[in-house]
Amino acid sequence: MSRIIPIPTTRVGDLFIRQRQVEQVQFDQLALFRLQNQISTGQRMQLPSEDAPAALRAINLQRLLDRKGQIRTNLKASNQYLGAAWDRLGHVSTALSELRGSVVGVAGTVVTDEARQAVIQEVDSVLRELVNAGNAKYQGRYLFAGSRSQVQPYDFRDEFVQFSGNEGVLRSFVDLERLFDTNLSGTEVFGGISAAVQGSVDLDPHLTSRTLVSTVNGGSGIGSNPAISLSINTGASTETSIVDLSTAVTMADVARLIEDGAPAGTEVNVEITSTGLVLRTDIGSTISVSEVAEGRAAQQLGILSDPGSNTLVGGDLNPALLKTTRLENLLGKKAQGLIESAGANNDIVLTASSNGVDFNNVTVSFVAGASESASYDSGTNTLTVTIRSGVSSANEVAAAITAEGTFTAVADYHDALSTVQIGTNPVDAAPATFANVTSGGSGETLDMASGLILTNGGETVTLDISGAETVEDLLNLINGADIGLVAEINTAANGINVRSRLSGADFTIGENGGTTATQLGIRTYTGATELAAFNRGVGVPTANDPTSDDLLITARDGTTQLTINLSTADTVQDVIDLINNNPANGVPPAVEARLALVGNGIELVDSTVGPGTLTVAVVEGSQAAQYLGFVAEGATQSDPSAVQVDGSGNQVLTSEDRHTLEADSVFNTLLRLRTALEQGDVEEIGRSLERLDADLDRVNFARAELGGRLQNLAVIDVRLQDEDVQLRSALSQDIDVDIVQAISDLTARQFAFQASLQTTASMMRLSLLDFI
Amino acid sequence: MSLFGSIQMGGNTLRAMQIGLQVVGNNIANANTPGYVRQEAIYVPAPVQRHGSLILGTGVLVDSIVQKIDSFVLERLVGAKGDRANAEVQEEVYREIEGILNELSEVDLSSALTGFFNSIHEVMLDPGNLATRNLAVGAGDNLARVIRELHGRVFDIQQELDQRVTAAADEINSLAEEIRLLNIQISSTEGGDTSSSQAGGLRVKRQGAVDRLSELVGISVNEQPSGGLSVAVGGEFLVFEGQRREVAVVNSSTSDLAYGVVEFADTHSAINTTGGELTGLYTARDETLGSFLDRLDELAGTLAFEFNKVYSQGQGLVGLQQLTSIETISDTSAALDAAGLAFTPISGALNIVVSSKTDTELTQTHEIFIDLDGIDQDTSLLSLAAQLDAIDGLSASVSGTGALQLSTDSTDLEFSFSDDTSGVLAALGLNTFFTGSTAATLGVNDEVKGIENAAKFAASSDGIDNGNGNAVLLAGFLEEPLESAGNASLVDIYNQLLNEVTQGASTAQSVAEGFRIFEGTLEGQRQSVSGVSIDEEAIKMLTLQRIYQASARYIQTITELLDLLVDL
Repeated sequence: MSRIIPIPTTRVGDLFIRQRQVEQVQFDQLALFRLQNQISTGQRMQLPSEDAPAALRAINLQRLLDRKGQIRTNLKASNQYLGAAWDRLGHVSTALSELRGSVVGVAGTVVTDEARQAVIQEVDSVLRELVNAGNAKYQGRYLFAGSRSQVQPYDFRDEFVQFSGNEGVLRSFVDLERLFDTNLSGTEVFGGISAAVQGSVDLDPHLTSRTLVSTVNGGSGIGSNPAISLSINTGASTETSIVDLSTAVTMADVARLIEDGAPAGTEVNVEITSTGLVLRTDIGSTISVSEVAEGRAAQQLGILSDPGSNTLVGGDLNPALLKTTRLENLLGKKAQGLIESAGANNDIVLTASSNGVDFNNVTVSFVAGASESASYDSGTNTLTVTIRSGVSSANEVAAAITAEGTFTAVADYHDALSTVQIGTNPVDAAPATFANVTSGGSGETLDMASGLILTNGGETVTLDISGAETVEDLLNLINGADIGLVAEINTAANGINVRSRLSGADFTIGENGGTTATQLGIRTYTGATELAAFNRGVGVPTANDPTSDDLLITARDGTTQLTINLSTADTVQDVIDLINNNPANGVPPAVEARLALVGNGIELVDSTVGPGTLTVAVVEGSQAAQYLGFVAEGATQSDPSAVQVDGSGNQVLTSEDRHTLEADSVFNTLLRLRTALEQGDVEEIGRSLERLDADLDRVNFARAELGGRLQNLAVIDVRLQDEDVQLRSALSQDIDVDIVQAISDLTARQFAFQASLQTTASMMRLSLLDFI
Repeated sequence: MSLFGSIQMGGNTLRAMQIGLQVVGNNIANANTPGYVRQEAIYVPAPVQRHGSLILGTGVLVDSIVQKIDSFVLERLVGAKGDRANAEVQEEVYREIEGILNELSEVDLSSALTGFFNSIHEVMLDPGNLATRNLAVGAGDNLARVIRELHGRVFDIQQELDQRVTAAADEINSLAEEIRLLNIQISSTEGGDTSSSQAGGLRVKRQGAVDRLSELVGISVNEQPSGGLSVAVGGEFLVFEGQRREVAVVNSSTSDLAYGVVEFADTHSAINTTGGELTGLYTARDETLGSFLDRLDELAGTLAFEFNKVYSQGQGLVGLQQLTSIETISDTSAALDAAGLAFTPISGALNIVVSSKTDTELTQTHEIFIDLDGIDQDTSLLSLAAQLDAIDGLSASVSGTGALQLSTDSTDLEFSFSDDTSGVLAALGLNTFFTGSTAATLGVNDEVKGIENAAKFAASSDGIDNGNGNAVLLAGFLEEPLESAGNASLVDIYNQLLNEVTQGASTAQSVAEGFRIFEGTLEGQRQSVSGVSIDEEAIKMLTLQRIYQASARYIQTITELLDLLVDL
């Protein structure tokens, strides 16, 4: 039907009639053509504006279908990767089960060498098969390499198996907002990385002006768009301002923004200590900080407080340990203070370069000289700074102090009238003395001089960390030692984890004469080490009768004999204490037990005098001396040649490190089993069998996990198919032409058009002239 | 009255009927002439004569020939034509945009957009595969090309509309001149007697010019006592009887591009019109297309910057050894947020990791601070280069053109970026995927093009050749709420663009249709008064013929009477 335009009620002209008739014909033809087009394309719209709401729905549905189509591709690919892994594990499970059967056959004492050799060959064969399985690839991607899908995960390294993948996962979308793990790391199937050596030490990184705001509070930061409300009560009035901290990147930015945002007419000075913020205002005023609206920035900055005094000491902000954290900023705290000279632009902030109380209350003395220099006398705790009296600027003096090394110094911007004037004025003229300048120093400094001793798979590396400046340098030194160790920051971001990726190898971290490993919390042999974990979980068996002694220690004087009953000892420290506190040992103990200064073990220091040799003997009925590592297997007492003499002339006997760690993996089990089979160690074969069961369980569990995921994918796939049908149906309703409707419309319009043409022709034929 | 007087009267009647028949004939001849106003001969009784005590009529006179016209309807029609022409330009332009967008098909921007992000899914599935990475780069290139072409086509329409503005100005001048000349001719023809509208043909011609002018620009028309028309546009006279003003096109400097605006040449005041094609051209060019291009720029800019912000923090299968920023800065010591970059970085920090090519696990991570809080010395390109240059193994400098250049000091070293909270990498074009900041300039970084560079595609987030973390983020980017866009996602922005076009097109069609119906109604009303009806003219013709025949018989009768007298 043509558009409806009112027809004049009085008269019509011929031109008007013809124009309207032509319009109607054109409109009808257009409508017919549109219907024909709809029928031929199957689409009821050619342009979205023909039915805007439906078209927009259709466009979104089309996009969704495209996206879902890709999602289904993802799902199929994920299915293939997981399916390929599942298949491979089926073979692994079978091989391990068969091997277990063979090992059980040779686990007894009455076994021929030939039988054992046959099982050894089978172990070798299974090892190779497992390494191959661990290196399985599908479509160019290693299935068990973690997130490093292009790196071959397992390889033989000497007599060990090294895992070079990681525990990461590759994920893919299996629905628009659903990520799915499309692989299983080899560590979850075969194992390959040892448990973490994670000490109980919180390395407690210092807060500094360069600390990123996002890393405080253990790495959770202070939220998005942070702001605080800062109030100063001057006595006469309370002034409040809102400080927007959203542009703060570092703690220095936070301090400057708070200082700049102080309420009008007030002044706030913010100090960044090793732990948190200290806000100060004028004496006589009180300062308080509250939250803005529902924010939590003040609390997260540790400065949420009611009015108290003119000083607000914030809480510990606990910065996260980062790769970029400087090693000098770990553990204890550094003393800090201010050298205040009269006037502006000349104050100096002094910070100790090392942690500890030793640098608290330092006295700074300015003496006159020809140029700027500094010296520190630890005896008098005095920093003497030579200056050109009345000439040396704060910047020059600070540079001299920093160059000396004991302290770092910078000009204080608080004292400056403008940015360019910071530290440009002369400090107080010499002689001048500033007493008790510093405070806040505490704790210990990381021992950078001694280094670490790392052992893995028989390879020992003494690591010199003196050149390391950051945590990452330290991690690189350990990772780069190339003995199959992995060092990383722990998930709590407060310490370091070290793990081994070498299966079949023993791994230890010990001291190199200092305290580095202990301070970093990565020493594998500490006072807290449980004896039950010795000897790869065998422990330290003591006499069956708990009243019987386990060790007999004889000093070189021959008269000091210590009988030690270890039945009550659970940890290394217990053993040390039992020796040191033995009634026969005297006070101070004649034979002092302590952790080994170099490497690991219990060190016995014999300070007695005599012609004899310090010995540790086995007490009948107890294997403790052997399992603690003092006495070799089969011997009855310690090897006299192992006794050394220290610088003080004391004899020193150090036990072997029997608390070795290892990568927990099926490869480790098989390599240990192989060694046990070669040595005919029946007990070890038995333990290996138990581990083999655990490995088998792990493989089966991993396979079950893969099966579960595959099942999950199948469920998702069915749902996606249903969704696809629904989406296409919805799209069809919006965009597809109703053919029946269209054809019936076409027919109706054809008739209408025909009628219209007929009436038009009839009308045009009618004329009065025909009747004249 | 004498017999001769009677013959004279009959002769007069014959002449009057001939004139009437001529008018009818003229009407019939113009029955199909658009804009023609039918005419009518107005007959009045001839002056009377006193004959003794009698007063006798002397026949008929043609008083005048008048146009049958409803001036009120005509006036409204002038406005309706302008509104319709205005709306039809909008309708036409929206239809063109819809055609260019080509949504509901398989080759539209929507498909290119999803195609690109789908290709990143493929990288996510198989991050070690160079071919899938290369495919993703290709899909990104295709998306950028589609957006550029879309911009180009719409921009062409904008240019075409601008040319039509110039053509409209020329036509306005031409029509104004025509009306001015016709005003003079009509005045001189009718001699100031407007009641009879004698100069029918001239008036029709003038009305045609007025009609066309009203389609071009919203006008108001007043007929003066002299018969001349005054035509005003936006309250200012364009034509006043025998005078007119010239209009000219001047380039407007209000937008990035110079677009023509029609103004009076003498006063330089822009034509203030609210209807007509010219208004439609302005609206379509500056608002409809301008808004569309703005939205497209927003889409392209958001895609470039926000996508790059994520992308730039990722790492490829290989590290970087040399890198030059895509963007350059003329004032290298200015703070980066005031250095004129298309995208503005904020305060933040980023990590740059220098590693050995032979052992990528041995890394040196360096924090780079971007201080833009406006308090101290904010980070400039030079100070950023200095921070980077201080890193062992890395050299950084600012080129003469203001680009940041990075390179490793050894071929054994490579570097990568991560954790950029400032957006400076994306703003400077370092390790980015897209280049450009607008729809016209969007492209893909040459650094990742080609199979030889496919390994650089930053699919990892945990280090060089380590996982697909960044690909996961990028694959989900399409629906990710973006803070910079008020938490709208890229797909939301595109939907908004589509909504505006589709709803705009739909509305423009409805509005144009409404105006067409309104104009049609008025045209019907006009033609009901002014249109020629052949049948009606035939009746008139018959009537006139009959009168003519009767008058002739009357003359014959008088002649016979005269003959009788002569024969006496």
